[in-house]
Amino acid sequence: MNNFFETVSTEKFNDTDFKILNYLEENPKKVASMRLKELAKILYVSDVTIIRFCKKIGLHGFNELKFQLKKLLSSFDYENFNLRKQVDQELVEFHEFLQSTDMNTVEKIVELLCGEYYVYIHGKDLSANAAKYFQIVLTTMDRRCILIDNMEFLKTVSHNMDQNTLLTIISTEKGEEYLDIVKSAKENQVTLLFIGEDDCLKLYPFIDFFLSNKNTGYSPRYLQVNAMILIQIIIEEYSKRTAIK
Amino acid sequence: MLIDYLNNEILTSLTKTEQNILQYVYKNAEQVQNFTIRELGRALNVSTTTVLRFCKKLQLSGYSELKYLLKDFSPLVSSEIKKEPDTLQEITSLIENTLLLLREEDLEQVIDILESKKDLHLFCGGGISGTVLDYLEDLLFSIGRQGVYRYESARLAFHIAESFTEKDVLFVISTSGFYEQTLKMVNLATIKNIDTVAITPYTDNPIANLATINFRFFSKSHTNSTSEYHSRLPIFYIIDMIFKGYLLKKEAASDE
Repeated sequence: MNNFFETVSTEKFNDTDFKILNYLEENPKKVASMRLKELAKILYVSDVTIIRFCKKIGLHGFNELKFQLKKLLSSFDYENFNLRKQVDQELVEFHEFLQSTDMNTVEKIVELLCGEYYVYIHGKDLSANAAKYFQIVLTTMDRRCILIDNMEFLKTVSHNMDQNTLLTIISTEKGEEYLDIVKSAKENQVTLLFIGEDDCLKLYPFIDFFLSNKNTGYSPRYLQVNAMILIQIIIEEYSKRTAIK
Repeated sequence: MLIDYLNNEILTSLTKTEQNILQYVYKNAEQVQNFTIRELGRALNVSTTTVLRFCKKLQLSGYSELKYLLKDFSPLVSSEIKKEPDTLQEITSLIENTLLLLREEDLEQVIDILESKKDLHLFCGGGISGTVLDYLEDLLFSIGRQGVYRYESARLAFHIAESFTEKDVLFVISTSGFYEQTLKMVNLATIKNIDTVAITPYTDNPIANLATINFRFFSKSHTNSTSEYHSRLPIFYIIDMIFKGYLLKKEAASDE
C-alpha cells in the first residue's frame, strides 16, 4: 500500500508544517474535497503557506496533495463498509507488519527476559493498555515485572535503577518526553527497550533496543493493535524459550 | 484442518444459509463428527442437498471429507504439538481464522448498538481479558461515545444489573466462555431481556448460548507449570474491526 505521507521527510519542518501535516493525517477525507481557501481558513494560515508546504513535501501544489489523499483513501473505503474487503485489508496490513518486525531484536529481548534482570514496563495514556497487557501476561508466565504507568514515578524509580534492569517504554509517538528519564537510566547502565514510532531520533543514542509500532496509514492513533502484536510476538518467543528449558 | 480450506474468496461466495452451516459446524465440531448428513440437515433445518452443496463450495469431495477434517478440531486444547510451528505462523493463523469467520450481520448489529443512545455496560471477570475490555473502553471514549460503563468488581456489576432496562446493553468477554461471574452477569441480563454482546471462543459455551450477539475467536493456550494463558490478540482484532466499522459509519453519516 502506497502511503505517500509516510515517506515525507519532516527534517526541514517548522511548527506550521507539522500543524498542517497533523491536520491532513487526522482528516484526510475532509481535506480531499476541500478548496485551498477553506483549508487555509481552518488552519489560520495563508494560501501561500499551504502551497509552500506542498512544495516542501515534493508535490506541485494543492491539487496534487488532494490527489495523493484520494489515492490513499481509496484503500480505506469510507463510502461502503464492506466487511470482506475490510478483512482483506486488515490481513494484508497484518502480514506486512509481521514481515517488517525485527526478529533479531525480539530474540535479544527474550534473552534478557530469561535472565536475572529486574523488568520494568511503562506506558501511559493510549499505550497504558499495551503496557498492562505485557505486564500481566509476563507475570502469568512466571516472569516478574513491574508496571509503572505514571511518568513522575517512572522518573523517581529510574534514578535508582542499575545495570541489572531492563526498562521497557511503550509509546505511540517519538517519546521525546522521555529524554531525561532515558538519559539518566543510561547513565546507570540500564538496558532500554523502546516501542514507539519510527523516527524517535532524540532517544536513539540512548536506547539499546527499538521496535516500531508503525501506526500505519490513516488508522486513528488510538488503534493500538500493532503494539499488541509486538508484545504478543515477544510473549510467544519467551514462552517457547521457557518451555524448552 | 477445515480452516485450511477456507479463504476470503470462498467465504464471500457462501450464501447466508451456508454461512450458518459453517458457524454451526465450528461451534459443534465434536458432535458433528458423529452426525449423519441427515442429522446435520435436521439440526440446521436444511436439506441434505444444501449440506452437500456447502461441502462442494468448500471444494471438498463430500460430507465424509468434511467430517474427516473435523476430527482434528480442538481449538482450545494445547495438545502435544508434533511439529513446533513458527511463532509468526501461529499468530497469523489465529488472526486469519478469527477475522475470516466474522459475520457481517453480527458486525452490523453491534454497530447499530454503538450508534444508538443505549448505555453500554462492559464486564469481564479475568485480569488479562480486562485489559482487552479497557482497550474497548478507550476506543469508545476516544470517539466521544457517551454512556460507557466499565465494571471491575463483580458485585458492583451485579448490583447495577438489577436495574437494567431496555436502554442498557451488556458487553462481555470470556476466554473460556464458562467463567462463573461473567456467566452470572449474562444470566441477569437475559432475565431483564436486554441485549448481550459476547466475545467468546469457538467452542460450545454457555455464555455464547445466552448472548444475543456473538463474536467468536480462535486462540491457542500456553501452559506452563502453574498456569494457563490464552493469546488475546484475536480479541483485539475483533474489537478493532467493530470499531473501524463504527468509525466508517459515523463518517458516512456525518457527510449526509
